Amino acid sequence: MSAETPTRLQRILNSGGFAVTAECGPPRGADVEAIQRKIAVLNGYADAVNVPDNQTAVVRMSSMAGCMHLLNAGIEPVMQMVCRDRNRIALQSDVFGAYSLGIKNLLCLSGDHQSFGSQPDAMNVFDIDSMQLIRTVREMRENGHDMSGTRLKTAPKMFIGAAANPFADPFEFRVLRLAKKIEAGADFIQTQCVFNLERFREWMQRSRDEGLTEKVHILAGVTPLKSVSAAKYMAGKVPGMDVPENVIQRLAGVPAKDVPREGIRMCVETIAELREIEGVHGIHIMAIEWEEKVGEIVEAANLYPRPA
Amino acid sequence: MIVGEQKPFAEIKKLVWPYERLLILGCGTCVKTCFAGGEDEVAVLASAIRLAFKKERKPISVEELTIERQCENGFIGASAPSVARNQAVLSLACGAGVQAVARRFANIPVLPGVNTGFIGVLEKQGLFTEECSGCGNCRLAVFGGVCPITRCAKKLLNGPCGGSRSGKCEVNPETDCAWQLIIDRLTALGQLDNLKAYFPPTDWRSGSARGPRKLFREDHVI
Amino acid sequence: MDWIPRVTIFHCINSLEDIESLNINIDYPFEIRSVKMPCSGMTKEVYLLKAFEAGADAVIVLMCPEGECRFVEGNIRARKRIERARRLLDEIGIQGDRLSAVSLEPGNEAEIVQMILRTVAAVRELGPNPAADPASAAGPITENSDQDQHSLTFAEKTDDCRRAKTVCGNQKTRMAV
Repeated sequence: MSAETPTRLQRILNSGGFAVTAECGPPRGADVEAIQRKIAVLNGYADAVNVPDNQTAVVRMSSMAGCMHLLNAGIEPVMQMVCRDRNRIALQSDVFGAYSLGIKNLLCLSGDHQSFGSQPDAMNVFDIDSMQLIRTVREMRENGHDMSGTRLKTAPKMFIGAAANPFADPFEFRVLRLAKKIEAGADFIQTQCVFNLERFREWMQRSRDEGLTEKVHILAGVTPLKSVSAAKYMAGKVPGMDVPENVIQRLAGVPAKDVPREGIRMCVETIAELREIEGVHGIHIMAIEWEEKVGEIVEAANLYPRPA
Repeated sequence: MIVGEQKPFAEIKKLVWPYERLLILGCGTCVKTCFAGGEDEVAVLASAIRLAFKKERKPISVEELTIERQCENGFIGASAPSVARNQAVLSLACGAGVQAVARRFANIPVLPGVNTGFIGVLEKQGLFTEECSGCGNCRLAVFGGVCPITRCAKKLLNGPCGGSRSGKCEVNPETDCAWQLIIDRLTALGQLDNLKAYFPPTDWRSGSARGPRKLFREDHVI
Repeated sequence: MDWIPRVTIFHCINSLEDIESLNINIDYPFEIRSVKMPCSGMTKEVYLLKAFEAGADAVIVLMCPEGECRFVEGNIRARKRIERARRLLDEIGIQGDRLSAVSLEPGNEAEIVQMILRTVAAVRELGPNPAADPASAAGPITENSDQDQHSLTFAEKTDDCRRAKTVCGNQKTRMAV
């Protein structure tokens, strides 16, 4: 896990600190003010901020553009790249471009299928998969060449992230997949948001058993639930989510006006539990369309202020 | 086999409406097996077209002919007399067959009556499933006989994505997750270790990305 | 009334042996022809469509009740094919309701007669088959048919149906081949 100058995220993780990353959802359209408003409320509360890449296949402002807006505000970005929309030519090209702009953290993903999004009629790409993308970006960093073998004059040296979903099936295979991603070159992992702590703990145990927590930094995902319907939607309609019934019941059990506060409270409690799990080196707060609450959550979880 | 579905009747009617003498040309191989264009389907369509024209008091004579395969000139030749008698040919073959017939009889409109879908199998009665995308570099041996290029919606080669739930694909809950199938099959074969290896990016040049492919067997040409 | 509704009934011989045995008291003339099948499973869409091509205004397929098919699945397959043919008829522009699948307890001839009369009443509402030749009498089912045909014009069978002769005094109907 090396880079020329370590990114702030890399530095915090490598020094044994507990990292906090957050997500900044880009707008549908070119609305600069919309993204700048989100950036403003996130500022200072995370070590690095992710900008998703057309998440759930809904067309939004590009991750690279969102990352530039973050850089302009003095915040360290984590660019995300999915394999759904671009082939190896475009993906490598974007890695070069991003690095040249100062974007040095990169999360490599397969991507949600286009059938979920705003253009189900589109042709998908999936020229390479996330494993191959991780390996490619590592090769650039370690050996200075691109996928065609061409030596690069200035090879990007990204701090490479990958996604992991402890809640997807087949459960037994998830740890093997994590091992493969680490071997391919993943430096850090951001997991799908955790509501089912029991299952997450089991996945972490198996990962520890395989020695994986010593090779990669795992940041556990958390999401504050805004409403009962949001919880139900995530439970039923979002691929790869595990929202246990008791979570929904807890929200449903409080008066409607108190639900958002309860959701935040649950999120803070989850963070406290996650910090106790050996091998968890940080959290990744995905406050979808609720970025303004990230600050409150980070403070309530005693994670504020962030280290320099 | 190639699996296809007959076009909706309204669409076929629109295609053949300008003609008074029509040949419906069926194919006795793939499309017969998937009930899209064999001689039985030709008969039903002929009757339906006659009824539709009769209803509008428009004259039509429909000739019915089914040949063994429309993808081979040797068989297509046999339909020449029927083609000569008619103003248009409605071919119920797959897209390849329609084009072969159109090439052979270049001076007569050859219209498609079937929407060609995929290379697949008869999984069980009435159910045809897509199995192969013709990538040109078969690695079914490694994946326990389940193709991740065709049956995984994301063409993943290094394991399932995070959307695999209870053995089903995130795209369609009725579709099996190919990776679940691969893992199950390799486990049964005692070959799960196959998946520890890193599979590098596919060279798509052997597939269709390079334009229409050709296969030339020089050893069969004298 | 100029138009004589024409009904073709496909029936498996287990559900009805012969329409000759039916005793039909009718208020108005109609033509009925029948096609026998060893089992309703012999029903094919093409025969149903050809019946309409031959000029039928309504087509009935009479089969044994579910679970009682002598060949186990014949009536299940028949229903699926009939449903497909109904949809195709709708797409052609000939109302799919003209084609019906009926199962009645075998041997209950009175009920079969009632069903036929209801079908005739229903088709009178729908009007003549829009793809039939206007004001012509029934011709033979096409030469391609390889099934038994038997045709009966009730208006003339005065031995069987006194009322028919009383109501329909004209000679517009004729015995089909």
